[in-house]
Amino acid sequence: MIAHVAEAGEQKGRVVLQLSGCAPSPIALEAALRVARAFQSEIESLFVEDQQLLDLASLPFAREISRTGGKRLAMSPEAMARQMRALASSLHRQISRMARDAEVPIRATVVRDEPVSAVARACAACGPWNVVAIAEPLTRANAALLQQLFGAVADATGIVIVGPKAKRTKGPVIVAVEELSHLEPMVRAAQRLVAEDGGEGILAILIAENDAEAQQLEGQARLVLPPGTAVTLVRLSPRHGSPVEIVEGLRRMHASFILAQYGGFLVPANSDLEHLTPVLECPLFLVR
Amino acid sequence: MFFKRQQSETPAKAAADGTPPKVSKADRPASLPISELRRTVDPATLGFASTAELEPISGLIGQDRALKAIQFGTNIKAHDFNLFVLGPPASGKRTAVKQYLDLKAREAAPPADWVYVNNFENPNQPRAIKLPPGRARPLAKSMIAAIDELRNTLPAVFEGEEYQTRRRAIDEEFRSGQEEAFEALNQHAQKQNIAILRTPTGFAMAPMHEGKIVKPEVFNTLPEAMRKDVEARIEGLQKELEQILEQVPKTEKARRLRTSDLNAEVASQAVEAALDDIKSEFAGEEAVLAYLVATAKDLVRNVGLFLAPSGEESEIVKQPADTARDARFRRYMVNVIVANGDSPEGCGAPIYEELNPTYGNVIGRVEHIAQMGALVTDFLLIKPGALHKANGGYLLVDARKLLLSPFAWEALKRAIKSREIRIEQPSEMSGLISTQSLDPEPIPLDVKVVLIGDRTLYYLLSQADPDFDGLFKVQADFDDTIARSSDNDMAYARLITSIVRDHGLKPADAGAVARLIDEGARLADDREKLSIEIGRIADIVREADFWAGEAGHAQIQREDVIRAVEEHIQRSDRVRDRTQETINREIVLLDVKGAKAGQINGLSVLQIGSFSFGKPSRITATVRMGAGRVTDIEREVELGGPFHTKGVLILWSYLASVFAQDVPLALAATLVFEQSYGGVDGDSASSTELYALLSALSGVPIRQSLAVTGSVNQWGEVQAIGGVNQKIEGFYDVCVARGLTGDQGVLIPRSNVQHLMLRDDVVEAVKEGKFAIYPVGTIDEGLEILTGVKAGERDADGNFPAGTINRLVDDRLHDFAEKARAFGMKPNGAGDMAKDKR
Repeated sequence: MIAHVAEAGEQKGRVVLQLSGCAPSPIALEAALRVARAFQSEIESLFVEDQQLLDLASLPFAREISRTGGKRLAMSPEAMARQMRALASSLHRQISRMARDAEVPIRATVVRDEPVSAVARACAACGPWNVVAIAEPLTRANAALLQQLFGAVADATGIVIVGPKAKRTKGPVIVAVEELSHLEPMVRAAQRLVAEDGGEGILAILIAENDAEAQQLEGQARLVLPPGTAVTLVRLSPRHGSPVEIVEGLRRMHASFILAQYGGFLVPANSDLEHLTPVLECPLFLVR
Repeated sequence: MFFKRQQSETPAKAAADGTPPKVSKADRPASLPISELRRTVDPATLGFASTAELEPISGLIGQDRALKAIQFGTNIKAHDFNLFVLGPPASGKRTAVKQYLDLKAREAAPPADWVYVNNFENPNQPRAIKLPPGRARPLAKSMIAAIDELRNTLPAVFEGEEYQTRRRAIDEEFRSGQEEAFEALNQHAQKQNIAILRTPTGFAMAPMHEGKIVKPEVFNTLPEAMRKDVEARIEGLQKELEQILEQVPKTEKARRLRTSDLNAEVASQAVEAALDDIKSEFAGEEAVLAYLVATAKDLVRNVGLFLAPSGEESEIVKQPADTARDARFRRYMVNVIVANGDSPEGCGAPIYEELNPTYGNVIGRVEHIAQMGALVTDFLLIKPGALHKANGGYLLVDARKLLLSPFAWEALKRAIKSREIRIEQPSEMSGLISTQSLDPEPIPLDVKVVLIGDRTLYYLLSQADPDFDGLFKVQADFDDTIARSSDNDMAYARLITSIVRDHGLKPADAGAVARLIDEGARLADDREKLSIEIGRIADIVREADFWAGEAGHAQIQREDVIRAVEEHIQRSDRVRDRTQETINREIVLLDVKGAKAGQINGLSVLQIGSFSFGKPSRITATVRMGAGRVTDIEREVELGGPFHTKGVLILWSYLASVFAQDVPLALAATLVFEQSYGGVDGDSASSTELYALLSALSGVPIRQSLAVTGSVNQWGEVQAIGGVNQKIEGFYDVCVARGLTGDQGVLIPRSNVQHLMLRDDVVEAVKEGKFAIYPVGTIDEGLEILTGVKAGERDADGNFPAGTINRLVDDRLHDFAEKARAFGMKPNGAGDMAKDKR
């Protein structure tokens, strides 16, 4: 559930930006900064030196195959560590520059661990209010990371991911609501995001199992939302198509951010996100 | 005896025999009558009360020759029969040309429009397209509309379900193949307990146990055979991975090609639909249709431009930037160079006058904009020049301004010769600056160029520029004056009416018009002519209108014109006042009474801006025995101009031919303009200098109450000079300041009488007998007026009568010759100038 840092009773909240050995998506970095600005929190730039890679590099037969497949190089723990340190420092410099421009406080950390446990540890160390932003675009190949994070990081309020086709940072903020209890906090979060960037309004997509429930959800939503809340409500149900088709529809709305519930109809838990990431053009903020 | 005196009497002896033969009062020539001093118009003879009754004159008066030339030059269809309109400033040349061309251009069909469009194959060589008149702007607007439409339709088409589905299908087809291979490998590896890990720069494989990478220390404890087995499995999997990865670029390339084909197919439909309207609108224009085909190809190729966000969207109104201003779509815009359908008249050939004929303004230019510190340009930055604007019509240019603009004259000639407008940067020609520039396709040129300038410029160009006569074959020569007649007086009155109407002035009454005609004659420096310097006359009329207003007159009256002229002079005559003052205070020495030998009052004219005035100067001559030469001090110090020197040589020749013909000229004479510190040119003082020289030789004094002007020829005839009115008035002003005695006056050449248009006060003084104007035809006539002594003519024996000035001069020269012989000198017979001896 999304809550403001002050509501969580903390002095400050943070966005844990998880960086790995892969190139980060600029849209993901921007999304992390936008969330941090919206919630007046700091960024913790967490570079994880994957211990498994270092272990692998110690094996005598370990070879690294280049991305084009054209080269095969012998590996050593020292070279691998050096490579990761260089990458970490380069990424930190880049993110620090962006954070300075966005006037967001930043803290850079490098840990040698496995990615999921590193993030879990970082979140646990900092308190219950954390947003995890994954810098690497999520594909089918690393989709398991999302499941693992939701499973392992109990303290995270939400996880921000981007797909490989992420390109948009301007446009309306879309809130995909499947439970009434999520509506108000999600709209509040969307309002913060919109207010921060002078965005183009909020669209609340109300998803229910059928039309009648969707209608009921809308009625309740109108009661729950404070009068004067500038939100456009749109009803959807499976009648409108599969999650893939609904996500495709959302894409055409040219959103700058989508807030959705993890484990619902749109983003089922244990999903490999195969349907989602190829059409996702903006950051996706998943909440429990 | 080498020298033989033919005359027995010496001057002294003659004097002893009696007084020199004086000119009797009856023989003394009288001053010119009043009627000869100024020609005035009687307002009553004009036949109207004020200009309100007159019709303004259309066109010019008295410029038939020039107007015919303009007519011929504009009618003849040849690229090299361009016009040079020459004449004095403010003579109405430009107005006349424009009036005529206005009429002619109105009858002509409007010429074609021209646009520059992008050359998609070679952007550095923009293409020029010719269009029927009035079609350039519609084409430009249609292109903007088409791009506007595509900005909406293309994103919609590419966002649409159909395209997305097909696109996804392609992506899926290629991705799934590759991913499936990768996934299969992954699963195959997992089955063998091998993990595929991503490193910062690639992939690596590691043995796995229960989902975790086997630690090295654990792995090393494994039996040798097992380790070898793991290594072998990893080796095999690595080869498979390499094969999969090697396929990635090829697959990606194939996917891109398929996607491009899809994009082209989808975009083509939208592009064709957007351009269809333009195609039908310009159906007959082959060049436009060819351009549209090229545009369509480029649009399809660059469809991405329409799908990417512009980044210029307003945060406030949320509206996309204007297409014409959007940098992404510049390549599809149309640069309208000439649009002849735009003028309110809507028809006719263009008449364009370039007031600032710089190279760029004449030929056109390619402008640049600074981007990231570099100067860049494109076809939209091509700016038309005067030749583009006048193409198919007439171009008027001030010749002097054109010649003063670097490169402009050569560029204009080049364009006329080649009959095309080719825009080149002057910096490219000089090779000074190397930056990105364009080579726009040249535009065919069909223009009649009318250069407007003064005569000097025309003759200079004709002499110095070999191309000039070949390209400007028609000269329209505007006259400065027209002959004075009652008809022309009336035409002048109508001209004044035109000025009054054009400038919205008060009407001028007959008295004012008469006075303006008088001023016209005075401006012409000739009472038989009228100046047609329209500009100056218009200035006087406008100033008179002002003074009429000050005086509360409903019409411009005679006194307003007089006031305007006087005020104009007063504003300009500071130098004249100072000059007069120095004479009055005897800082500059000048006698206006008494008599002196070898000293005379000469007259010159000073021009200060538009104002000229006469200035009297003392000229003195000294003589002595010498080697037959005259020293012109002005020339010696290089203050004398060539015409002045010529005058001095002529007077010397006169002296040598008239006197002492049987003896060598053993004379050394010196002539000087006293207290003259500026240059002296012109021969108008040559008769004056001769009088001074003859007075010095004869010893007969000259009346200082008289001043003299006029040039002289070898026969002693006094010839016309310029500025006669100003010269007389200059001496008159000095006499007035010193006090008029009734004995004062000016000798002028008889042939200048016709030019007299003297000031009213001078005429009045002559009328009252206080001042006199003496016309003279010969030196002898002048001598008698100046000295009161007979000049003398040779008798049958070839001798001058005793006591006459000529006899005294002759005797003196014989005396010098005798003395020179006694000294054994070898006189030089010719009138060598001292300078030549140096």
